Amino acid sequence: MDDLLEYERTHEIAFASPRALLEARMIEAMDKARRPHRRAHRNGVAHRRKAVAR
Amino acid sequence: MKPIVFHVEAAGEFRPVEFTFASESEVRRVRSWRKMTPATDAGEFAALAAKRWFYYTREGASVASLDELRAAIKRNERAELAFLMVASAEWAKRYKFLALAYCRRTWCHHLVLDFLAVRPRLQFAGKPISGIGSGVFANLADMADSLGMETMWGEATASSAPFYEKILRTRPIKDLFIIHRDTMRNVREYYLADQQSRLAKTTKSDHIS
Repeated sequence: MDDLLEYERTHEIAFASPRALLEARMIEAMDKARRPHRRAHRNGVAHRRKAVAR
Repeated sequence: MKPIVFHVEAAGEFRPVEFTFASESEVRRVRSWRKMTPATDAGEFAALAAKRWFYYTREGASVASLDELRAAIKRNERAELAFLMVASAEWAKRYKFLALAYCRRTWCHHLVLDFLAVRPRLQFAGKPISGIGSGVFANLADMADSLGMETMWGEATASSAPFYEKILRTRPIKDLFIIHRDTMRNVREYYLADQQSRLAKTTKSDHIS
């Protein structure tokens, strides 16, 4: 066990199954895509359209 | 359920860590690892594991306790269920969680380890804490065995294979580790024997001093 503890002292223990990582990243991407655009309604102010000269 | 307890080395002492199923609020807190600076793989994996847990929860396929796991299996013995385990310690309260493991119980009652992360740069009294990763893994193997799971497996990468080789005392580990009940028990016995030996040394040195 000493070599294992030494390994833990000297290496970051952060492991992910590649497949699980891919799936989790896809879930995150889907969540981001589903979120409504917030910028348009910040502070309750509607998005101002640029006035177009006629 | 009583929490699983294992011990880690912290500033020359052997200290207890609790290992439990994460509740929904605890899974939310795990996401905050991503805010650690500098950014780390552990931080990213923690946030992604939490996301995955919430996704499975929306599908009705996650559990937050051993009782829930057993109940879900009783309802449907082929259920695919996800759960997050977290390690924490009273003596290290500044870190809410010391480590996490995202696991799945598969339709054929095997345990899959998808994410394992120890919070980076953990310190106690100015010294690194060690033994958390091995404690988490050994106790997952023990839990799998006690749940009657015949197999525990996971994908290994170039960075994780050395860790799995050391804890499983098997070489080489390539892109998959698969362990059966005999190995789960060996891991537990070897790990427990080491824990007892270290605890005994600590107790002996306490008596001497």
